[in-house]
Amino acid sequence: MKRRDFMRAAVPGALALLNAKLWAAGPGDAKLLVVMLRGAYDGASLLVPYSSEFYYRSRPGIAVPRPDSRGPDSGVALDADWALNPVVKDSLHAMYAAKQALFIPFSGSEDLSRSHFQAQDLMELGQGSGALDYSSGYLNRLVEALAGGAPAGISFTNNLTPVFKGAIPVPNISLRGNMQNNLPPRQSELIAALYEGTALSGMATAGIETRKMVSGELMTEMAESSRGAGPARAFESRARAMAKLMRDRSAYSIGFADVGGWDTHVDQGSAQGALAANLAGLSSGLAVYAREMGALWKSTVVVVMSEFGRTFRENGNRGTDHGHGNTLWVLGGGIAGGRIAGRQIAVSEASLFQNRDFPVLNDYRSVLADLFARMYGLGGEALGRVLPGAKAEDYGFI
Amino acid sequence: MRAVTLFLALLAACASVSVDELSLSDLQFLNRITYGATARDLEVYRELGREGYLGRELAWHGDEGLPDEAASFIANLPVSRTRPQDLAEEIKSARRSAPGKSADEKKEMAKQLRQEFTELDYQVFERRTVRALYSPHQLQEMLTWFWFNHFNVFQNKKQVRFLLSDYEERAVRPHVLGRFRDLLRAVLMHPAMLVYLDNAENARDAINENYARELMELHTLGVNGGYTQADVQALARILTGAGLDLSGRPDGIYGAYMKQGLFAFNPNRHDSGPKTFLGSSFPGEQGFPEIERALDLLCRHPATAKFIARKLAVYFLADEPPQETLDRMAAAFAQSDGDIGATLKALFASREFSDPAYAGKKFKDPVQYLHSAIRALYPGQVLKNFRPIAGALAQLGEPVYGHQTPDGYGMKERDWASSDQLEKRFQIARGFVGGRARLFVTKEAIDAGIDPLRLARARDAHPIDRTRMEPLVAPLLSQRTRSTLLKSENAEEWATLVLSAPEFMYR
Repeated sequence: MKRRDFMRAAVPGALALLNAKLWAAGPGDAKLLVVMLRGAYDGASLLVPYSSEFYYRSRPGIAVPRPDSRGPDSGVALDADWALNPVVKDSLHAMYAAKQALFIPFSGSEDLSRSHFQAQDLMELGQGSGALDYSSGYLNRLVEALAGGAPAGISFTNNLTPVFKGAIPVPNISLRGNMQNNLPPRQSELIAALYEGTALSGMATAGIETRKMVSGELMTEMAESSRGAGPARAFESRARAMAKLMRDRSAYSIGFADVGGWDTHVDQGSAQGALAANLAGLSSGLAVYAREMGALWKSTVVVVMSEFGRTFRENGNRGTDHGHGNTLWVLGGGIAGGRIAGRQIAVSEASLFQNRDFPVLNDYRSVLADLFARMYGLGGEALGRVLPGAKAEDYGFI
Repeated sequence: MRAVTLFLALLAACASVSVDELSLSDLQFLNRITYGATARDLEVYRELGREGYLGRELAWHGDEGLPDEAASFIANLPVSRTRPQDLAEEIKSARRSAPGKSADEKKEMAKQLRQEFTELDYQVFERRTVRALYSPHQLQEMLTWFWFNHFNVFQNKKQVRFLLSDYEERAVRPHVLGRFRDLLRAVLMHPAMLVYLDNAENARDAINENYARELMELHTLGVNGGYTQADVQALARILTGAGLDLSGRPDGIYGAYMKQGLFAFNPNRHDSGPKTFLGSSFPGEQGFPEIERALDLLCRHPATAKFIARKLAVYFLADEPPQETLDRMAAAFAQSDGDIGATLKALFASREFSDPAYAGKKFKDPVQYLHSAIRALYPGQVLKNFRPIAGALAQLGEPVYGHQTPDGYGMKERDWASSDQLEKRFQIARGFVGGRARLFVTKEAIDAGIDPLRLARARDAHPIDRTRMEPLVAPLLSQRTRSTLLKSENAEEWATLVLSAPEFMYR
């Protein structure tokens, strides 16, 4: 595998000016969805470094077969070095072929604890240098920075996670379970009165309002989409509802969702098995999301990431343990996709971090900073408040 | 008209502020070491005084004092008579009978087993919930939740589903007020944990770091407790060989092989080479005693005392507990060689715990919210149907035995306070009051088709008793809440609003 380095020279100030023009739809129409894969997904089973002998030596039981191995399980080649897991052929690979998906391997955060929980918080807070100040997460700071243009956040989670904590009250809606609204208006009013002037007032009224607004349409939506659907399709039905809400409501322009079940210490499989099923469900769900966004898909960006990667070598139980660098995905109807982006290095024993993991060459915060600059024309000081100290890099998204 | 309203507001305020001779601070004290104080708790407290009450509650009582109806509910649960060994045998015999069967028959057999285990796990939830709602010894029931959550396992991972009952009942619950090391060891030697964190698969030449890492990060030292990646690897090697034995042969020591229940230490799977763990050298060739030694090192490590002290203080006192309290608790933990009761005593007897600045400030997690709602509405009235509670827990994001990752559920306001959470609590409060009949009719009767007459009888048998509820909640309410409550048209609406009020979200 040849050593490559695709980074362009970066001039942050000039970039920001350029961006607003480059984003055809204008920042007002931009939609952003961040999907967090909790538990550290095994990126090497999605984006397979198939030209690396070392990959096949390190993973005798779980490597995804080479594209040329002709079996039904062989990887789908993207270029001379990388292939995708065949389970995402009709979804993620189709998007890649349409230049609406790109991958950034060797990416991640500064975390070295290899603790899921600390690393997830660190990533969601996005303050850099290992800071864990729970008062604000980067998506809340983004909403705050864009407040003039009034785009707002919506969290598709059971509870508000660190990424959306902060000065701007952001509603959440879990999209799981009962969407019914049983509160009569009189009771809603009395409850709102109970909360007036208390610290929870914003939350209580946002909760009542959000439910009133979305209950009816989502009830129908969820009932339709879950008809005959097994658990593997669970994300698909959530994705459809997320798209519907983000498409139809201009207030919901920045979304966050999380998906669990990636901590594969045992029997993770390769092109088949538990991990492959999860990847397939996620990827087909995001394809549904893209389709459902309709005309807005061209100004929509989806970012998929995980708190860290997994050990490059297979462990004793055909699984992998906690690692470091991972592969981040960027999807969107208007991005310059169909590429492997960011700094890269040949995948070999010598290039492993601490002789066990993928190294981090592309800080996820620099990826987000570049995206936010291009999507919203954010630059300089404002961008610095959203992602303090993030390095200016050019990933060529546009 | 306005004058009348004002007069009524004042009257309500005066009538409810005093809880007999007990002060507001007593009520707030009790609300934090119970799932919501009932009139009976107040009675006992009044009799024993704060110190006497604490002394009683810091001791283990088992099912003593459980009302007859609750005790017989538990005794009649099939799960109470089921041993994990029997379930293991059932699985094995199903496997043995498989070869002669068609694919459809095998599928049907697997489905039946799955249903049986799902039903048993639901009974584990019922057993836990009956105790939590009706035991006079509330603290030990809160601690059962706390320590299960600390040593969380997920019911849908592999064999955990048939080990769950035994794990909660025998590994966790008996030790919740005992010595931390006994608890940690019981968990380590329980197959549920070994399966959940993959140590059952951890063997010499097939190392799996999962349990070793979480044992330090989540169970003892804490993520910043000073261990390194090399310590994770060393502990993983020390733990090799600790796994399961489903053979059914008698417990005992067979050479270096040790079997106890479904747990086994298998020397053939153990990495017997020398190791260095937390700065101590392990010469190797020692087998199971290496694990005991590792537990000693972990339990006596100052980081563990701090970590456990903080976690307990966060659960009972404040999201950001004062350093002074933490230091005293950690010292009590260290001096008592990890006695949980002694550590808690240092907390509950502290000045901070009685300081009004810390009272009523802990945001209830869904379990605390739902339990306190049921205890306020229907004290001592044993529910017939626990499904609405299981459903509400799932809705609120805290399904029982349903947390997939080993960190357990969060215990801070930021983990639970959100717009969706509050809104769902409003809906649930309304359901618990208006739809209460379903709580008092068995789920079998509901599944068989609802008999409206029976539902109406259940409803009438469990009225909303405002005069009983009022003294326990009114003192906690702000003036604003009280005046809004004056607008309620009947006892049902009043109770729904009380359970929806901001003050009821905190303890």
